[in-house]
Amino acid sequence: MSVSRNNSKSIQPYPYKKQSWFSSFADSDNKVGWLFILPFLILWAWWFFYPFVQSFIRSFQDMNFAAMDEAKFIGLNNFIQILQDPEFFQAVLHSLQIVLIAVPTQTLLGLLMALLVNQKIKGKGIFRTIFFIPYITSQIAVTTVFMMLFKQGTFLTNFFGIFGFGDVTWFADTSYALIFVAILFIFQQAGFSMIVYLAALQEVPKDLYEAAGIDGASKWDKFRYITVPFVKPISFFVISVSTILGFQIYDQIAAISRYGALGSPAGATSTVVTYFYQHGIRYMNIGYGSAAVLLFFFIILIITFLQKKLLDDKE
Amino acid sequence: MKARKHLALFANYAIIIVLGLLFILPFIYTIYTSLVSTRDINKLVGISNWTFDNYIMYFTNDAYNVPRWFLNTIIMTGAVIVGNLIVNPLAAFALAKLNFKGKKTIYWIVLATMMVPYHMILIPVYVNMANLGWLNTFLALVVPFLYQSLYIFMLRQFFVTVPNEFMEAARIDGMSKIGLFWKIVYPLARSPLITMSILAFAGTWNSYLIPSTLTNTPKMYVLVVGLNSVKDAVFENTALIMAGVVLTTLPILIFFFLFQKQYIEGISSSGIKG
Amino acid sequence: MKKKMSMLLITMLTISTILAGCGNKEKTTIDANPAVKSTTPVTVSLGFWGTAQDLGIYQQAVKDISAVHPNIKLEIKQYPSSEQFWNTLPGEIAAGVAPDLIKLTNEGAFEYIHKGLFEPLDELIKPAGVDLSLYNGVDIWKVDGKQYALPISTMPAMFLINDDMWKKAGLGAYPKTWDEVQVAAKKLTTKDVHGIVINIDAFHITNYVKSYGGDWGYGKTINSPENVKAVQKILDMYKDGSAVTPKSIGYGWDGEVFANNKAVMTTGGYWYKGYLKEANPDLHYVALPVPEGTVHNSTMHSDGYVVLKDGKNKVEALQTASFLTSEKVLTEFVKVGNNPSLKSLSSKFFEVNPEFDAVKPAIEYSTDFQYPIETKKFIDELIKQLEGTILGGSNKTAQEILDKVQEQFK
Repeated sequence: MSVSRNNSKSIQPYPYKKQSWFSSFADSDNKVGWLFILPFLILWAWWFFYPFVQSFIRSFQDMNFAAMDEAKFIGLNNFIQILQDPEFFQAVLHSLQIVLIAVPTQTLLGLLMALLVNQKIKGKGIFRTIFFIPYITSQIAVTTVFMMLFKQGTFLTNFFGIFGFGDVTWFADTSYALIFVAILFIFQQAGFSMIVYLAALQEVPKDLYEAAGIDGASKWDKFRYITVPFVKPISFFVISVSTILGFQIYDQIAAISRYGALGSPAGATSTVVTYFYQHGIRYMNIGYGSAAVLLFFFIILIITFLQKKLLDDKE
Repeated sequence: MKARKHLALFANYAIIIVLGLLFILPFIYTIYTSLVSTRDINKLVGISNWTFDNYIMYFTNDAYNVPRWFLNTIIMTGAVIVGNLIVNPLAAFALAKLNFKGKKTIYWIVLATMMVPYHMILIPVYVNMANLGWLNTFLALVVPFLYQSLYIFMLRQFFVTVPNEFMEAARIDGMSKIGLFWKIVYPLARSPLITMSILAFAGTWNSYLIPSTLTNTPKMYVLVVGLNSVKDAVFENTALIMAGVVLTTLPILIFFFLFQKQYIEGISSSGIKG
Repeated sequence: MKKKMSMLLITMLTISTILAGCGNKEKTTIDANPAVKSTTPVTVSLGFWGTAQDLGIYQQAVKDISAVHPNIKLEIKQYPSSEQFWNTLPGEIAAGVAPDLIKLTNEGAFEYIHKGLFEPLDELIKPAGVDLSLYNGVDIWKVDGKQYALPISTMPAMFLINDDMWKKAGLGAYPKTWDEVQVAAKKLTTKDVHGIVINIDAFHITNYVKSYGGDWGYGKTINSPENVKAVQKILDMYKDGSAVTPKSIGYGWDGEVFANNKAVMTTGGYWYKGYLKEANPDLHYVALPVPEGTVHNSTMHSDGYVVLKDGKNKVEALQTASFLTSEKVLTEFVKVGNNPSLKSLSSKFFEVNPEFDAVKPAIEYSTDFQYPIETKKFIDELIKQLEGTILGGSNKTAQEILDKVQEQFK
């Protein structure tokens, strides 16, 4: 990143005016930059960084949620305990599984929908809306509806039965519950990805396609050599955001686990988030729960870093 | 040759229609179920059996204050969108176009923040709110969410694509950086800003975890939380619940429909691709 | 440059700490001398979860309490569910905004009693003018010799049968033992209907366990032979297809299955009355004591009012509780199926709820749940292991399941 001394004090426009304090301030990259950043920074420090530090500290403590004043410092004990708990690893595995299934699927689906809707076809506005609606619906609402639809014996389950799926209530069967959660996520998130891809596709000059067509490029060529380069940069954004969101899925799982243990059935949908809820809130062991989420954060950090290395060629 | 073209076109339409049906199916189910009485769910009944009773129930039952919940949600969402429309673009522009000391650090802060699951800070936030006496107030629902690292990142990516010629032109015209931002760059960002608003609207309107944690008196419920509490209280009355789902989703849909037009205009009128 | 950055961040952190700390509320000091009856107006907040009918009764109580206790203003706070309640309560205590008085059930209360969330009532009883001898079920709420709640109701678990479906199948007398239940369940199971719904939930499992002479022993006897026998019976009924769990047919709990005529029999409790009234008023059911495995035993459910340790105005809170368990208020609760703790009202219950008459004998022999102190953990583990076999095909035997749970509670 080049650091240009963009201080226009040295180059004044003709005719030369005397610069007031304000205008020199308002011209200075450094000062204006900090001015613009300040609102964000204050809010961030107050409502993110400070709580983050609090949580960080608590992960080294033995703290009962109902008696927070009596917390004891216990060093790394929470972490050691967590790393010895097979349930934690199972939770991490499930989080990864959900993300591995859901993120590529919803990314491709979003791209596909964006491409479809970007064409000159009748009713594209309607389709665009239809694809986007799930994203703006409350997650609990979607989960509720899907729980109705994926019950044993409904037309939907029978439809899937054709493809070899059993006639079961998906969210009650240990083999299907996780996929069910992934489906919920894909159904809603794809709309978001579509909108982002759509915005990116607007930047593609339409004449490029025509020119390429005149040059004899096939549809596939057009896609590969025109669309893809325009779409690749934003893909990093789409993938990393949906990954992070995928790791944070909670409301849907809580809705499924209602009346039962979190992560039901039989822990098949347990994720690191439910692990945190279980230990931190349900068992009131806040120190332990904070440690679990901290570990989780590091996992996400590593994964996002890897994604950036692989997908983000800029800077 | 022509046959191939027609086939391709047909396939095109087929795919989009199938996808469309898949996506709209749950909503048709929801709307239909909300319009019938509990006895008739999961069965197809004629229009004469349809009823608005489920909806009326929400507005006439004294135990729930649905209009108040609507109001709460509107206030919360409105304030958050306004905040996001100010704080995010400012930070994003600074990160994209202005050179200031510590820029790289701030950029990494934004990125890192995006990756932190909110659950990590939920409880400290809750306790801090309590200590400030902000629990069950609009302050709790709004202030921490006046910015979103995600949207800052998104807008920054957009601002980076604004050609530097704009900046030069403005400078030559004697405009300050601040003026440059508000008068030129901000209006240019209409399309991403609308996108951001739509997304922020949806995210805030539908948020459940945070409002249900930070407010727990029925007077301060937001719509999703309130309707969910009804669900728990009324013994799984499916039709009623579906009506609740529709009630929650309708405002956003309307908002989206309204701004969809702007969105298109914004896209086609943005003079970026010179 | 880096130094300046870190200086700046530290400044930000300091500012935010100051900002965050400057609204610090003083933790309210507890009244040192509870014996003094104050006449200054005092607000007592009551937290509960329950039905709309419960809420109605409490709202009426809000109006009526000033006649008896003019200085007490009652505020009601309804939690959407018990899950929500237990998830938010610790936070509320931490934040100092928890209710003063809570309606609790004994199922799982002891975990929180042992964690010190509630105030022992012994010191408050005299100043509040409460007479414990008027109540049944006082001992259920005694832990380590201290009284922790004012009992509201005591009711044993029940066994419910869909009478119409039972009679239609022509099965004659109602079952008294689990073996009889198993036979009947098999006969009643058709393509759409299961003979019995067994919700994989600690409450229901515990009843089976008790009826075979077993119990959890506060965590010491989780995998006792009697318990194993009970769980095996449950697994057998699943295996032969006559039992179903609500989740696998898409329902939330056993009540829903029962109300939708998808199962003929189920274990349950008095809450079925209020629920079925709304969910399926046409359903004719019969309430019986929990069937015998080898003995007569079932769980005893008790609701009680506890006073929070961090609450303000504890004496007034107890007074409120006493008001809420007075004849007038308790009679309303009788109407929705609660067996009142007031001795003077015990005959009234069966007058108003004759359908529960057959369960009367169970009052004598029903016992507490005896969950381990880490109750939530126990329940989660038990459910997880059972679901693993029933919903996940992991094919463990009852012995293996209970052994696994016992492992966690050495």
